[in-house]
Amino acid sequence: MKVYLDNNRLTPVDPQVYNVMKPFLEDIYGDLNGMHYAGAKTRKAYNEAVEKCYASLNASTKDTLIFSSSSTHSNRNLFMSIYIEFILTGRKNNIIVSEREPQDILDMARFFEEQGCRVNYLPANSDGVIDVERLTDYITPRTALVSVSMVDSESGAINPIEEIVEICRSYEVPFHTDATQALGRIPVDFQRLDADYLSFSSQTLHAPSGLGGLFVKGSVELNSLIKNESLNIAGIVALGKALEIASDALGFEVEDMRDLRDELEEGLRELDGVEILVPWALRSPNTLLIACEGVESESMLYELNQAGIACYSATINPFGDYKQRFITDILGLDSKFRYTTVGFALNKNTTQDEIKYTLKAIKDALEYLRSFSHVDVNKIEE
Amino acid sequence: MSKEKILANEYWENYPFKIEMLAKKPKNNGRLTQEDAKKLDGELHIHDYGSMDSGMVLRWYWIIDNYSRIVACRYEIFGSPSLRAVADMSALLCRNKTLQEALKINYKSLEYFLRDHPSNPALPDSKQYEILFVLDSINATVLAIEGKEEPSSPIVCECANISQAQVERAIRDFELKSIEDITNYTRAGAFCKSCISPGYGMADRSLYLVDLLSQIRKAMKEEKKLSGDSLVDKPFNQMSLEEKRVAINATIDEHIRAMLVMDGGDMEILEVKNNGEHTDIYIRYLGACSGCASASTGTLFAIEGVLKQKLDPNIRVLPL
Repeated sequence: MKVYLDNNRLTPVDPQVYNVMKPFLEDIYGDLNGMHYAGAKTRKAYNEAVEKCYASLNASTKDTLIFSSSSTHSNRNLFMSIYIEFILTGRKNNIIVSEREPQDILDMARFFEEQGCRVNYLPANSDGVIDVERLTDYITPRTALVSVSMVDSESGAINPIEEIVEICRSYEVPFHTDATQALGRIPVDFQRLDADYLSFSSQTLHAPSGLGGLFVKGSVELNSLIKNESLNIAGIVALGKALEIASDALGFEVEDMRDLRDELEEGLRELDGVEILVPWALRSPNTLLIACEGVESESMLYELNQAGIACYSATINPFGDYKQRFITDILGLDSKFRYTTVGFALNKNTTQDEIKYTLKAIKDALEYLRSFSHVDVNKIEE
Repeated sequence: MSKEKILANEYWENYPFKIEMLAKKPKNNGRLTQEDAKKLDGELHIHDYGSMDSGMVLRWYWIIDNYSRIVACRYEIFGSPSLRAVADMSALLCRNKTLQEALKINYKSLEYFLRDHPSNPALPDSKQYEILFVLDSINATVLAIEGKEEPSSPIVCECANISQAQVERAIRDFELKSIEDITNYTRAGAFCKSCISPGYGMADRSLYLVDLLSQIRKAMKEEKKLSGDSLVDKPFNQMSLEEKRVAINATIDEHIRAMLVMDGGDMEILEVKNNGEHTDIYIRYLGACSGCASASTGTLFAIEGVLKQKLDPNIRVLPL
């Protein structure tokens, strides 16, 4: 049996999405501005897709959506435009990012530091979510941007974005959030959220990877750096359909996914020496990150891979090369747990059989690996 | 950026068959007890190396008899599958060796034994540190059994707990040229990166990897100039006798000695003579090789074959 539980990084393409984009891979399709039947066909599908994107995030008609190749690309464009507009001209001198941002944003923050801009890293608290209190310490009128992702890609912790936006509003500081891990898992309402920028990516939405977008609030003046490039029509059509499915799924399918995740969580909670990271209430419905005492992450992944289970670890090459702090250190666990994290991210197609099989495989792997781990098995059981 | 960085990293899917087998079905893992030691009439030694904070722990169980020979060897491990494979192979190699012989297991021989084919490296660059970790653990275990202490050396990288001496040794042994190589071979600088150069991280350090690398590269260059023992760049048959001797020694060090040492033997060159168009090399076997039945057949042909292939087809090897 093959079980795929690495859906925070990449999700399989939904057949419905594939069917929608198929005509744009197989048949003739024209340029958006073409004055012929092929152009008309493209225009129709493109407009529909854009409508779906706006509708599923409940963006106002005044907001702008800029397509790019991924959330990474969108983030990079945004940060570069902020740099040119505010930092380079000397109008602002500071940006604030959370320490649990995706790797590309941390890289950009590093670039800002190299250019002599002050960068504050918002720490996560012992629940794994970003500490809102600390934002008021860092924020000043000369802050050019605050960036906090909506959901942590490793631990699934849901950050208190609404409170952060409120603080940013009171200081009149632009706010950006990366919603890649949030779409299709928790409700995202761009108008109610009132963020200035929101980036997202197709690979977690059961659409083919390689497409992303950036929503910009209508009142924000657009820099010439942020604008549409030549459009990937097939990808945009797929993204529109995928977003529509994702927002429809928020009712029943996500609840089913949450139930399955909880079943896995309950099963693992009974095992000895297994810690569940991040409290249940603060976690996105598809993610479960555990730390198993005395069993190294990579060997655990290896054993599970033998059994046909794909999962991830928050220690080795998590979502990039390195993180500033280990997730277990942030959560206040003992340092012996640093290299023992294993994560499971479900998608809406995960079945109960797969979860039962996974649970059994995890038990077997733990027993086997602990049989020759230097950590005393009897002590764990105590 | 180079093509190597654009290509995706390979994990388990492309490890050699040997590594895969050892990782899947390790044979020497587990523990030894005092009863086992009594049965084998030896003394049980247990030694831990590494820490869970840095992701690798190796616990050796060695039973040592009166002649300071390791008669039984097992291990317990907290680490990746490839580390398990390396530890399993070195446990196999340690068995029935004296402590001094176990110290002689070096990177080249261990890595050679992990290869499927002599020309394919056993582990990818990013995993080389695991081989060095196991060798260091054997060193530390022997020192602990002999009651000696490791010479203390300042820690360069706190995240991976790597000392200056370890980095220095890696740079010298493998002629490392970049920080990335150092990270591959020792794991220093793999995590928070604050030890690489000023600017990463908040803390100020007295020692950065960049400085260490340039210092040691400089020292190595000067040593090379002074020794003058380097290989000359001309065909083998035009070399003088002394140059031939240096070239032969280098080839033996690189391709042959490791094999002999693993079986407890060794060899030395007595004389190199020009004999018409042939070059005669007189050698003497040492250790277990002297008196070995294959010393005048299989082993000899292997040595001669390697020298003929690497240096000159007109070489003859004559054992005394």
